[in-house]
Amino acid sequence: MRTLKESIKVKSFNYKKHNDYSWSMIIDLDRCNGCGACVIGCQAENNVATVGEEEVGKKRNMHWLRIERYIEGEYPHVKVRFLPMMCQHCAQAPCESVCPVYATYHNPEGLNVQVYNRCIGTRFCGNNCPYSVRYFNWFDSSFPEPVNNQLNPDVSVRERGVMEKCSLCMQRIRRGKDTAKDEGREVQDGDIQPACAQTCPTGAITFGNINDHESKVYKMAHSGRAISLFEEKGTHPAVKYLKGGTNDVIG
Amino acid sequence: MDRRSFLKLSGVAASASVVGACSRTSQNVISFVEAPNDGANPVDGDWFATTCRECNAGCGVIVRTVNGRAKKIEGNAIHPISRGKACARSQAAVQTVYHPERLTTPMLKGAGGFESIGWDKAVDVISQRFTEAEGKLFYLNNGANDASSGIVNEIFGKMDGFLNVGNSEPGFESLVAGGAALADSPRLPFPDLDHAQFAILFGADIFESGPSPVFWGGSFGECRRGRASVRGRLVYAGSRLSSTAAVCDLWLPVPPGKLGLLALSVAQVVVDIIISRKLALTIPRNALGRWSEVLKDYDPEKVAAQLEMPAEYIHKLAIPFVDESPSVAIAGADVTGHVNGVAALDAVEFLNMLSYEIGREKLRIHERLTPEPNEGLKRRITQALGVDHEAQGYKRMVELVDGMEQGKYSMGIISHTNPVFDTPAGLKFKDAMSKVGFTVAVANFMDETAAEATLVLPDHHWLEGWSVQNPNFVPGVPVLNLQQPVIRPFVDTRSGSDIILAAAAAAKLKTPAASTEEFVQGKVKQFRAEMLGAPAYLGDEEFFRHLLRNGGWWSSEIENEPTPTPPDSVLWEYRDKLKAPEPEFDGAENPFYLHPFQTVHMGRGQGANNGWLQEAPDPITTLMWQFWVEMNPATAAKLGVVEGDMVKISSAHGSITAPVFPYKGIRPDVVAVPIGYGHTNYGKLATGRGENVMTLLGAKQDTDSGAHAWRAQKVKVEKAQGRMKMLRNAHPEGEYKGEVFQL
Repeated sequence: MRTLKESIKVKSFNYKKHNDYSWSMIIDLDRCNGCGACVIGCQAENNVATVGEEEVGKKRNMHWLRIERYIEGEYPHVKVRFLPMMCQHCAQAPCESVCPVYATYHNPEGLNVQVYNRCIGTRFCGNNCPYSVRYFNWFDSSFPEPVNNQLNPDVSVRERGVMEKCSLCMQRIRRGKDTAKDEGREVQDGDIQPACAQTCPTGAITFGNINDHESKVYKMAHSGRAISLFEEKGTHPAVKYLKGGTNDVIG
Repeated sequence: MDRRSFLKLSGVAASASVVGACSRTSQNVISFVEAPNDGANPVDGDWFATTCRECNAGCGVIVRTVNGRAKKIEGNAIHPISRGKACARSQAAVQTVYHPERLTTPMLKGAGGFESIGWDKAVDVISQRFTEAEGKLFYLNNGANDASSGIVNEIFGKMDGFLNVGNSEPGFESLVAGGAALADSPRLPFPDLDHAQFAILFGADIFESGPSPVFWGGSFGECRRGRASVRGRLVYAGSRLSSTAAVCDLWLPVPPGKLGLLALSVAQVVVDIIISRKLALTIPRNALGRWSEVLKDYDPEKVAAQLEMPAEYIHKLAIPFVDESPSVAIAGADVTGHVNGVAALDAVEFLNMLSYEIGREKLRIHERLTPEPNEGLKRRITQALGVDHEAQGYKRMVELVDGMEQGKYSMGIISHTNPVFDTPAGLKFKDAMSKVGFTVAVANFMDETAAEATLVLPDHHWLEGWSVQNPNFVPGVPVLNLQQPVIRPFVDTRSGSDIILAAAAAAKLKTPAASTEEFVQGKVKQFRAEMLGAPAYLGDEEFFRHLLRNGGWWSSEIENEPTPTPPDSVLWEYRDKLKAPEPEFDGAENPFYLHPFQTVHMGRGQGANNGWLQEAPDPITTLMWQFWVEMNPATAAKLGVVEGDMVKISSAHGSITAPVFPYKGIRPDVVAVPIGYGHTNYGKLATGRGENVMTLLGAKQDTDSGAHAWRAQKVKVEKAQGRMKMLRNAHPEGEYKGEVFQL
């Protein structure tokens, strides 16, 4: 019998070495100003529903990407920090192992994917996610005429009883690869940008192929500032954060 | 054959039959038996370049359309202001264009309220009023320098009694007037944050209240981590820790109205450092001695008590200001919101002048001190589009209200602005508006101002209409933005400026063009000869299309070298401007300073009817769908209230109630209330949500520029009945501390 440690090694080996692509996202916390452009960008790109005031009160809002905010210290030495939080696309995803119908699985490019038409709504995955980034459709999503005209045709609208979450803009990854194939070349660094990375005014979010050692994400992930959230849980997220610097003017 | 292989085969056959027809793989039918596509099936779309008109920053955007519907708005990568990025409000515009509450028909107010009239009748009514008004009319917009304003100006501009006014963002005039003596023309200051190593923000909420949160966001990113070996440091001084202050390395809670004093005190130390270190500047050494003398009253030791901070803090700001050159000072809402705003801006610009002197080789652009590239092309574009800097802001609004009160205008056109809602109670705009015989509101939605108008014209959304726009705030280059229809009009609207043109033609007035599109083309033709870098071989039509593809024209290079600092004789005149007058407050007997502020989502209230923006959590409070008042936990304890308790905030002008959000990042003597809430007539999502803080504000103005001093208000706060559950978007399992993530 393999130990847990060995099985992690085997899995990491498969994903990281034997595929062309292993998608990763790096978020520079020192650049994030919490403006929320990524939140709306994600909502527009992925047909994320709004639920209204009452449901928000029950914490049923669907934002695939939220900006966590931490207030530290006491007046007047107060520090506010922002942390954009979306599905971390863990290599050892706690959500995958509990799904009875394989609705959430790990694809060969290192993404944690949710297959909506397999999902039967047990919500086990949501309960098991340490980052709380899975969102359950308690109702049929409401896109009444004429709001539905805005819906992105690339992304299916989820129905009631289905779990959903950040896909790292799977449709954009596919389009990027299709375009590259049409043009007879490899996908290049920077070709593919999820909606949040595309729109981030401060340039805090970078996306790319971490298997490509020339890529920006590879370099950033090895810059010494990179951390994973809840590293002790051994989830091995594909989303990494660059620590904010502390360079106090008045020490 | 089993079921699986049958499906496989039929899948292959289906793909094969389609591949022949389509050359692009993304249009292939993909078999269900293969990998499930991971839920995505990308289609192609058409992208069009245009200009975002949600605020007046003039960000270039590109819009993805599929089957004639706008799907996604993104930044235009080649545009000098947006630099490929877009803010939350801009991206949420696809919700307003397909909003169920959009106005669909022109409406005339009769005895029983608004009645729908046809477009032909609307033109007839307006043209008749144009004839009767004989130029005694006003045109009020949101401060946009665009085709609509340009058209109205060309028709009526030369007539006696015509007034063109921009209801621009609070503090606009002060920003233009502050430090003007150091610049060669009035315009918004433009400190080069991109290349700075150290920045002091004097109450500058650059990510919330503009002039372009997207541009400043990009600048901040460059400053903070854009260079391999330098991490830009920022310090924020102001009474509330805004989301701009949150990214700064230090927050200094300076008392309201004292930021000018802080700037002068920093300047005093900087001048002393320059003298003691014998730095080589173009300012003669003996002159520096004179400046030191001028500033001696602002010695940190003397002003520290007033600023409520240790004197050493001021030294610690001044030392990196010199050492970590290039450094910049940026002033914003907390400066312009007080009656001494221009005086404080003069001090901040003096600091910038010193910084420029110290680091002149390193700063690329520093607009205050550079001559306009292309010899005033920008200014001439501005004038060609009607609302000049002088025609904007609160001072002009006061002039307009006085004129309306005196019956100077028999007609008014109000375009895409909501002064009944967003001007202070002290201005009494609504009362004055009722004295004008005939008012036309050009709008996309019914709002408080449109409800008071006689005739309401549903305009095209900015994704549907033509325009040309000149941004107020430009990073050192002249810009002519083009706005083109990226989709067909979704409902039966007409371009407001087209209707004005048609009505003016029917009234036998001289019109500049037959349609807005023609006007836009005309403007491009007018300035074409001066557009440096534009391809000369193209005919006018092709050239216009070339610009449409880019989203407009802007100079790609900064043409001129920065000019030297003004000669010492000129500079010496500036000494009279270096003063820090005491701030004055409306309702000075009240205990709390009122701090109205813009949020990233609501703007001045336009965002309130947009579901995405209402549900998007506020950066600081993470509240959704809710209105709130921020106060220090110590203040809340003193008032005996906790989170969610209602408090009543009152001034001589009115009172509002709001639920409390205790926030450690605010001075104990300040209460902060977001603007843009409390609509009374702006659709289902906005109406009745919160209360309007503008109803508390008096009409205090900046003593130099006449800008509305929107933070010069003191208020009473008392506990009120009721409680509200605060809808925070915190982690469902409770808020983690940042240490959990070892940030």
